[in-house]
Amino acid sequence: MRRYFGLILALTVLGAFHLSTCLTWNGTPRDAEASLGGRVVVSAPVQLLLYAGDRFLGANLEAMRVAVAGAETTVDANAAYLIRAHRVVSQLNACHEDNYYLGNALLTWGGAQEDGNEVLRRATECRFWDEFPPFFHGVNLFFFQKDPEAARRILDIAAERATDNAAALRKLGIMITAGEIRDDRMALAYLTQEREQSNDPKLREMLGKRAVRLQGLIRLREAQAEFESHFGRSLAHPSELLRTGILDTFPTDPLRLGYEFVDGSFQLKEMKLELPK
Amino acid sequence: MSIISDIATGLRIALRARFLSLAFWFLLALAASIWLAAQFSGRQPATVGLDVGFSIIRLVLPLVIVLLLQELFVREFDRRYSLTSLTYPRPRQLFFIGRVLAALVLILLLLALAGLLVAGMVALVGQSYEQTTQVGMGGPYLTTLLFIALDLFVITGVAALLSVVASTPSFILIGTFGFALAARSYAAIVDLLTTDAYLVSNAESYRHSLALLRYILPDLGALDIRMTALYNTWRFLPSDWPLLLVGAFAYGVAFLLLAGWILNRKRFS
Repeated sequence: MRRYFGLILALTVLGAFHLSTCLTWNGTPRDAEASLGGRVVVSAPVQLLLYAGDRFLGANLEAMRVAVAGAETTVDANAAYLIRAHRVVSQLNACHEDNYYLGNALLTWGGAQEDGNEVLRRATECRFWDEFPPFFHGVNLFFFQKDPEAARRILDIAAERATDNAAALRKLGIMITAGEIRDDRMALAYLTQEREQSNDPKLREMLGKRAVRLQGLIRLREAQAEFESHFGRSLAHPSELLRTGILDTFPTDPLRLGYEFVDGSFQLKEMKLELPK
Repeated sequence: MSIISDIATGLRIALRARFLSLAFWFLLALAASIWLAAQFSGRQPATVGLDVGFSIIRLVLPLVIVLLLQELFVREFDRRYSLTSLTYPRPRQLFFIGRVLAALVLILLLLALAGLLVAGMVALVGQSYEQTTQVGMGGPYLTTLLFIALDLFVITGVAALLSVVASTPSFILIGTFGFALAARSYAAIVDLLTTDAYLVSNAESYRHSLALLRYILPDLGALDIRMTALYNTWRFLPSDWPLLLVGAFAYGVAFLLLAGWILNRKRFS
């Protein structure tokens, strides 16, 4: 018995460990709040350590992950993943071209305009020669934020950088501030053009969905205009469009985010997310 | 005996330790990863290819340095070859300088080969798509490679010191990589902590104490000037680059001198 005393003591203590595990483990994560669901995006400083102090490698791999995994995502937890991923890439390498391009296409047009614009703003700062980030940013400011003055300022930055179509960009900024542009038509033209330029079939499909979403908004606004000219009063509730037979059904949004009727006009519904800033 | 024969011995030892096959596999992996990385980029395949090429070079070549120095110093002491290679009339400094120079020659040759390969691969993947921002494969690319060479020189200095004092081979690996990781990342982490302050409690004081590292570690992260080549503009070259170069070079030389001094007084059992 004495010979085995040490072994028995060790096993007893191990049994105490086992018991304590059984008592504390009840099958759920310790911090239920922390497990939001969705994919993990590692924060920028930690990624830097993971990739041996190489922020460019971190940015590239994260951007590839978004390009591959983010493709079929639209709303809910996956959108939060997209937002965080684009933000982290933008912190690691703000100049990353794929990141600002995809970030604009997926975030801004997918209902997270604030975050898309943040990625674009950083890209504008870092890529001091490139006219596209300020162009996208200006268009977004006009279309989503309804801020023509800021849009014109940023479009002027784009015009300063542009090599061949500086005049067109300046004119666009002026027309925006003069209120001469129907924002939804312009946005549709620009989205369609962006889709035509893309050589990635997945991205084309996603941009196509965003264009359909925008066409739905244009249909709604046209129906509203028709209603108001026909009845001579402003539309009080969207359901009146159905009742009077101007619309058979409301347009469906392929992104499943939908539209909203605020202060007498139709808008694209924004995605609401709680994220650490 | 002249230093040339010491270098030649070092080179022969490295080649016998299958350095050529190591170099071949490294170059193959480099080419493959550039090609694969470029496939994932929609709008800038050449830039991403070049970027990943730099990353692989900066990740793998320190490992090659460690393996070389393990072969040239630690194995030598382990196998008691030092009983002949350090016999009395030959100064130990000569042995040390010869071996370090042999390692540097091999590593710089490998870097030059890798540079050629990266340039070729980038030209290849760049053919398929006309980028709006071209990569700068001329002056910016060569300068970036030179800065990487200096980075590798500093790491060689630290690895040489560790291989002279270490009693186990794995300590060189861990020590050198720990040094490279810390020296390359601390400056960028200090920057990023301003944006991600929620990561650590009391981020501000954490940032300040981390910034103290700059007095004991060279800022190897700042030697990474690849953005000049990626986006073909000198604007991304840090304005204090001459000081950076001098500082890093001095750090590497100091560590080599220290290693030589320690080897000179080392007692072999």
